[in-house]
Amino acid sequence: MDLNNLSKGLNLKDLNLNASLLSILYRQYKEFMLPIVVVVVSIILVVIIVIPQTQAFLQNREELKKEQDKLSILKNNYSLLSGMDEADLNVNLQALSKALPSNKDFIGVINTISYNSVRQDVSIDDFEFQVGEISKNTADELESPFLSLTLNVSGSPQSILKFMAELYKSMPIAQVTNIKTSAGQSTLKLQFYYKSFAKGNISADTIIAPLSKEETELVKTVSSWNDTSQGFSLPIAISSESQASASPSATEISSPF
Amino acid sequence: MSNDINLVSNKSEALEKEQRLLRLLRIFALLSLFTVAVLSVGIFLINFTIPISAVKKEQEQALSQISTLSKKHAIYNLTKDRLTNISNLLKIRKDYAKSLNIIFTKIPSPLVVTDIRIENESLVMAISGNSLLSINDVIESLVDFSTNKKIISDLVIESLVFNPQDGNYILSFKANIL
Repeated sequence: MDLNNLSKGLNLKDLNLNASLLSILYRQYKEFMLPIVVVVVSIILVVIIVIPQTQAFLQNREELKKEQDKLSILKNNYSLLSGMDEADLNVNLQALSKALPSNKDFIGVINTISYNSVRQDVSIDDFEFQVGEISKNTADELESPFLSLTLNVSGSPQSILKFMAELYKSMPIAQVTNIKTSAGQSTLKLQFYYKSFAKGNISADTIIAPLSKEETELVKTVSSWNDTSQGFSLPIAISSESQASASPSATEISSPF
Repeated sequence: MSNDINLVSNKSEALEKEQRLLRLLRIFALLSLFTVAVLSVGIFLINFTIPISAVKKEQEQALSQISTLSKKHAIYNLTKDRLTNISNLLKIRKDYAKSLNIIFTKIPSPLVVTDIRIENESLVMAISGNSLLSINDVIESLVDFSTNKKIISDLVIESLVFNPQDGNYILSFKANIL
């Protein structure tokens, strides 16, 4: 008990001593207090105001740059679009869409086979489309969807080759994957490509550039290909005998479609 | 006289040092306050004058101008889409007719191509004729193509058969079309 009282007495004494010491120190250094407070306030202001404002300034500057870039793209797009000829664009798109249709173009396929077989003196015996499962929308999943066709043709190897070469210069885009030729009879496996147009909204701020040299060349090449979608209407299975008995004018023969 | 006696008081020196420190502290405090004030106001004004809203307004104008050309814009995008896809297709498309035509140019007229088979880029061809010399020329050309990796590779001569009934030789070979 005595010891406790003693320790309490000592604590109170210490406190009194500290308070008096602080009072002495304050009186001695009170002129320093105001500048120190000002410096501390300045530091707090830097942390609270200057740093966030600087960050906001940097963000704004970046955003301004982005928006200016976007604006210049929009202006450039507008000037380029204004300078484009709509009729030319339409003609190009039509040719390119015939070369690569957006869906299975059965009529285009049959027309091109029919047209090229007559031109290259090849007779089409029969053909078979491998359409695949229609209920599944596999076309969107594939990078380059195609329509498969097995074609039995009669003709010399040279004329078959010419027929293949002409198919490669015709619309729609075709590829011969398998060839089997023997004794004047050939079986060709063909793929006719199609591709649906890209889905999604057209963004105005996507950069529009005039067609590159390669693209212009491609448009020219595709436009020069045999377009059998109009004006050609020969039935596909035409042998030499039936050709002889048929009307001499190709245009008079009606289309199978 | 004792040297220990110091007539100049130490207290006034310490006081002078303290006063100097106080002066410096005051100047520093004022400067920091002034700097913070100038920086705050300056950055605020700069932020205030960044013309983002004006640029956005210009963008809206440009967008409305572009919307008047929406048809052209759509046609342009569709054209680009077709061009990209066609270009990709043409890059991967194998032109067997072209390769076979080059091989055909090396086959002289007395020889006849009797059989051609192409499957999975593998070519099997049979050539028939009564001239062994011409067949030899064809083989030399094919070997040349294969060694130079031109048109074909991995050439294998499968057979060279003589048919006594018609007196013709039949050359059969296999190769990969490049």
